[in-house]
Amino acid sequence: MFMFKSKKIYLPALILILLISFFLRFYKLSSIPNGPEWDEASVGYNAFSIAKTGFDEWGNKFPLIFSAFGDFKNPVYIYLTALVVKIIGLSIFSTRFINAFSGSLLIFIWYLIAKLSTKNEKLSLLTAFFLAFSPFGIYFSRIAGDGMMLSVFLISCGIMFELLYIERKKPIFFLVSVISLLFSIFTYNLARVISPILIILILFLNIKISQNKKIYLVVLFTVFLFALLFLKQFGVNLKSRLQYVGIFGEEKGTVLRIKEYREHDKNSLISRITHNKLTGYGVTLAENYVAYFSTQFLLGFNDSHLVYESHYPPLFIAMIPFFYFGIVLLIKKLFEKTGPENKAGKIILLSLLFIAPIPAVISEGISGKRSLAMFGIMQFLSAYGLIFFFDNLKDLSQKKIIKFIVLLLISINLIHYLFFYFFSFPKVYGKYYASRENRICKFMKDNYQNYNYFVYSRKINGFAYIFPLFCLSYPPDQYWKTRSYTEKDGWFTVNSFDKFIFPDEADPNFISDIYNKKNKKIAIFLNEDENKKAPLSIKKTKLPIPSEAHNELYLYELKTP
Amino acid sequence: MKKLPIIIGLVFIFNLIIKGLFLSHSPNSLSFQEVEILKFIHINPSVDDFSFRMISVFIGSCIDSLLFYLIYKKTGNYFISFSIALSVGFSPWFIILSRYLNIYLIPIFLVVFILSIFQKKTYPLLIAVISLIVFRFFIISQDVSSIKLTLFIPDLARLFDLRIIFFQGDTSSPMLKIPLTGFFFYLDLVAFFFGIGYLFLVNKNKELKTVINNVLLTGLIFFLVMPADLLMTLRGELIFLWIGIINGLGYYYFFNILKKKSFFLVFIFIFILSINLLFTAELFVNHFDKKNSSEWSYAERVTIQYLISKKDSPVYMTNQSNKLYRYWQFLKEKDMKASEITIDQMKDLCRDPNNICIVKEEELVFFDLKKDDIKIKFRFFDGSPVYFIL
Repeated sequence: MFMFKSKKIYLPALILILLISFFLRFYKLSSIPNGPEWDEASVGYNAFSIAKTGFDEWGNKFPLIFSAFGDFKNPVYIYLTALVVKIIGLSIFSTRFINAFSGSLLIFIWYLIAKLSTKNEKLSLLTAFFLAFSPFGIYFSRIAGDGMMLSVFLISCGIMFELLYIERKKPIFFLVSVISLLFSIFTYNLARVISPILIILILFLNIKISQNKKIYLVVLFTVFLFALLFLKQFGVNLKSRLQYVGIFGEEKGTVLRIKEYREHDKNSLISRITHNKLTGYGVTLAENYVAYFSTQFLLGFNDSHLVYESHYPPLFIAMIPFFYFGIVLLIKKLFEKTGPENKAGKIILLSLLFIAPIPAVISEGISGKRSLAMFGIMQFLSAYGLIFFFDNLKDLSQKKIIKFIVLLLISINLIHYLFFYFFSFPKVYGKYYASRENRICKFMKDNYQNYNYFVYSRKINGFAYIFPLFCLSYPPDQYWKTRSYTEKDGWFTVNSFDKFIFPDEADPNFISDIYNKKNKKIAIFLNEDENKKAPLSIKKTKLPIPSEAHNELYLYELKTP
Repeated sequence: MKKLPIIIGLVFIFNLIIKGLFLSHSPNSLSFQEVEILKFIHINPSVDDFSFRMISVFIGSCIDSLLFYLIYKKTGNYFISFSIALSVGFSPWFIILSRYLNIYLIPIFLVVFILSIFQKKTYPLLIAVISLIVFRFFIISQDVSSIKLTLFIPDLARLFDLRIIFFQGDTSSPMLKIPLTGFFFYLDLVAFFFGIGYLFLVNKNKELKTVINNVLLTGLIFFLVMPADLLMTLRGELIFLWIGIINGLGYYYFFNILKKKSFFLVFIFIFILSINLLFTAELFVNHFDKKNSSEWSYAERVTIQYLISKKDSPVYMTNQSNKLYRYWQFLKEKDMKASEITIDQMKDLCRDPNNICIVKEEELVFFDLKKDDIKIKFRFFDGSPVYFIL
């Protein structure tokens, strides 16, 4: 990419990159990864419910936040998905569509950001190229999640419009920039941390740049309106969420460590001065923060069963030195003597880089999804470092050799990734994307008329009810009429609806009870443990499960007397 | 130039003081590597004597003083030289390495010495690499299969991980790790980035660049040829030397920028840096031995002290207590004996109250005993019992 000599090739190259981006994000979108997993099913069904009735799955009219399982999902992604569902119906494709689309468009947005901030076409194209093939970009665009890619898209739009405002001074860009950032807050939780900081920064920087003071009032009023909405949301869920995922709490690692270290020194004054919550959290937060600039994260193959981890490093290995170099370079450029406009762009980009890991830092463990706001700026800085490096290499033969090596390494990494994602990943990790639940669902869909009851327990999946709702596109009004549910600690548990029963565990007592229902035909799914404990006295016919299950799963047909 | 020997002398003395403070604490017991070296050089200290560690303190101080000299020769700038000497000499990894007897100070000494003495561009690098390879294959081990080329890149990536360097340290073994500390101080991270910036974007001194590149290159070669299962602190020591030099440059550059803005900021930063230093010192003094107590030989040391006080009784232990037995062989007094026996033999011998039988927790079951039944037990420094006297 960085070998283009003719300017005529820039536009076709950009179009080609964008086409490839769309292809990589939409190709087999319904099947790679498997799905829907429970959050996707929840998002999809809530969108379907809104599209059909204007109410969410719990009967709230156009809610500001969706209760879902009790995890409170942000509204923007669900409402946009509702529009897609209205047009093409509920499916995995329609549920993932908005993320895939915004993930594809994001490449163009970052192309513009790079161009606006550096005026360098080669650099902008290289940024777009890195983003198009980025493992994070491809992975997070192809799952619905809670709309994480849409949120990054909106944050990036906010930055792009601010850069546009800095360059052209049209007030509308300032307003759109702030509105984009405000919308991102209602899209995914990471933006709740990042966007307010960026908005404050933009407001602060624009004081020097802005010539039209009226726009300030309009922007401030808009911010005020959104702040009211946010406060309404805030009371509902943010505190409980922080306790649930955060590092803060008396039983969490940091506090336990403080106690241990104080005991080492018999709780002496020195130990109390050196080991307290201030130093403990300070060290933990600093360490977590640095982790997002470390090779463990940047080169880490996250071999976990988590459905929201990309299982592949965010950057290609050959890009790492250029990423670091890009950071140093941008910081150095910031201190060069230029006008406030020129500085403002760099301040915003650097701020994004340094703010982006914060949502992940305050939660436990290294998390790709919570640090997703780094996506874009990482690729931009890699391209920035790389272009500068080659532009400053004076020895031509040396330049050619290094170019060749870098290109070769990136190509190998790229081919390896694409092979990994489209061939190995579905086989190795597909099972974690609720493949078992979806097989159960397929059986229920195909045999809906043949059985009086379908039973599977929450031992198989804690949110079992959402799968039949999603795969049958079950009418929301019928669901509300027939469901039975309980609520504990803010989490909802649906026990049954229509023909579907979801006990805590299909233990012998439960199976005996259900067997007492007269003259019914029941399809019951048991996991290995439940199967071992199932009473032998009850006559049951074993049925084959469509395709293999990763955990032992048994399907029986019971005909009650 | 007249000032130079005096300043080098001061750097040396300063190093001696810092590295030699409380030499019998942190680590408060012997490592087996120390035992092997002491046997080799025919020094047989008493159980509580750690003065032999002054050898390492001395070599460590020499390295830092030589480094000061080397950088001064290349830059002619006392501040840069002092900043680098301080940064390396104070680094947690180097402090630990200089406080216990080990052979891994030799490669660092060799590299710094060769780069200081030989003037031409390629010779010092060549001589340094040859001497490192000689050290690797003639002093450490001749086993080539312990080099794992396939692990080179992932291991190197771990070595250059900012979290590991500045916050976590050697995650594979706590033996040489100060708790909650990396190989460097937390704030060195800031200096590191400034150092990189200074080296690539500001510095015009090619000789300094060559020295730094040579240290990195020898570090990479050393990392490559050393056994893959060696502790990260030891395998990566020359790369840490390189990082220490970069940090030193970074501090120099950073303070230069800062003092142009305001002296007050300089003081603030020095104050924060001092807090960081004190925090690490507290971790080292109060927590190093407790967190790593099973890696060193505190429990063995106190057990042997007890056995020496009961010198007339024969001592028996099984091969479960092999670690104790090995230390015993080295630290016992001349006419004392201990025997390694089987558990069945021990059952017979321990009926005699004159015999001292030492077992580990997992062996108590053979005597129908629980650990609370035993009155005399010896513990790791963190308090968990390890040896029980029947």
